[in-house]
Amino acid sequence: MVGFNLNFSEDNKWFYLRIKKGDEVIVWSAPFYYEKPVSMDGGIDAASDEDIISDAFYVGEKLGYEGNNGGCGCSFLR
Amino acid sequence: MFYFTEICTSTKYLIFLYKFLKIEYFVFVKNVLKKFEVFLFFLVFDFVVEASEYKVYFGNIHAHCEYSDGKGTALEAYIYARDVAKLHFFSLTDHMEQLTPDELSETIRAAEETRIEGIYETLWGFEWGSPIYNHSNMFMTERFYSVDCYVNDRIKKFYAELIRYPPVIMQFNHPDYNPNLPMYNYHQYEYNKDVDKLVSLIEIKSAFDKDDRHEMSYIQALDKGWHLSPVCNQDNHDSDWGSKNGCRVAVWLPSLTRESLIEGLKRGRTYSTWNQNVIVKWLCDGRWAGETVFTKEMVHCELIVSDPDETDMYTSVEVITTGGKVYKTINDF
Repeated sequence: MVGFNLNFSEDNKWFYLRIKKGDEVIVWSAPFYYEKPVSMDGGIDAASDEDIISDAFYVGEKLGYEGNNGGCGCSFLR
Repeated sequence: MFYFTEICTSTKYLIFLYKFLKIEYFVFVKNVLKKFEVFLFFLVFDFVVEASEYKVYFGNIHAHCEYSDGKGTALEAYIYARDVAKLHFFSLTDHMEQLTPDELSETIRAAEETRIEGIYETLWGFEWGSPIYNHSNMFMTERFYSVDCYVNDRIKKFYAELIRYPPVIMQFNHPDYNPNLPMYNYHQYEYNKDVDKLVSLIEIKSAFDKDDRHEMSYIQALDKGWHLSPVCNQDNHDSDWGSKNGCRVAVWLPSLTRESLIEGLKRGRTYSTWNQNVIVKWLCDGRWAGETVFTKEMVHCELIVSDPDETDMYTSVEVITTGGKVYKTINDF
């Protein structure tokens, strides 16, 4: 195991890992993200020293099939 | 773990839930119409599974069969991925414009028949395709989305349809970097906060692409604000569902169930790998990559890279940041 620090800033808003075997990249990791805390109440950081788990990935709408609306193929790629 | 220090029984209290999943505080605000009397109760409801209890699972969630431009039936594909390729999870994603509703039903039936909880889990879906915007995999939805893509700039219509009828999981496919085509890759990954909530994955390397253009697109998308985690898929068009090469989606899960798999993929606890069994565990301040947004500047990270195959020796780790800059290189790990 190796330990290291990351220092987020406006210039370093995300980090991911590229793990290599020689010159060949074998693994690309998921990133960690940074969002600057939102200031509220006269400049007090509402979320300072807190990290949050993004709920940006959650949706809950009902899904339903409404028929095939056709398509335009995939010749551009493959 | 379950802590319970005080119980509030009044139904007149408003409940504010702070923090998703790791619910640390319930704040009960007593009937504000009365005396604005505020009570703070401490109810720690920690049902997060410790990171040490997670395991990594390997799969392939981009593949075709004869229902579009691949080979074999859906049932053959799901069985092959389980019994021959020995994947932990698998999904067929035939081209939507070639797939009939009956064939999608057959795909769903095959996915349901072949899954074995704890051993082999399945998803199902299709590949939406546009010659202008590129392709995306839509999982666990039976809605066939419009593809009006020969008309210029119909992206807003497509996005509106996605938001109204969201797939359970969505993935940007084979994002070959090509900045000379302004509308390609969904307008060069122009940020859309509503669609960002729907898309959790991006292919970075697939069986078709050996160069680094996918990674350049990954960087481009992250720079523009998308929250995406990388996956490596085989995009099979032959009867080699999962055995084509070492390309794998790796995902960290508390257990191998369909619900857990969907949750892990949606939250982005993945890595993209060309090695079929390398284990990469990367936590910062005890949180998983992919699903964590920090609001503090300094975090401490721990990385474990291990491989059951003694011949697989990894030589360096590069930490990549905004703009694709190499922030740090680690050679001793």
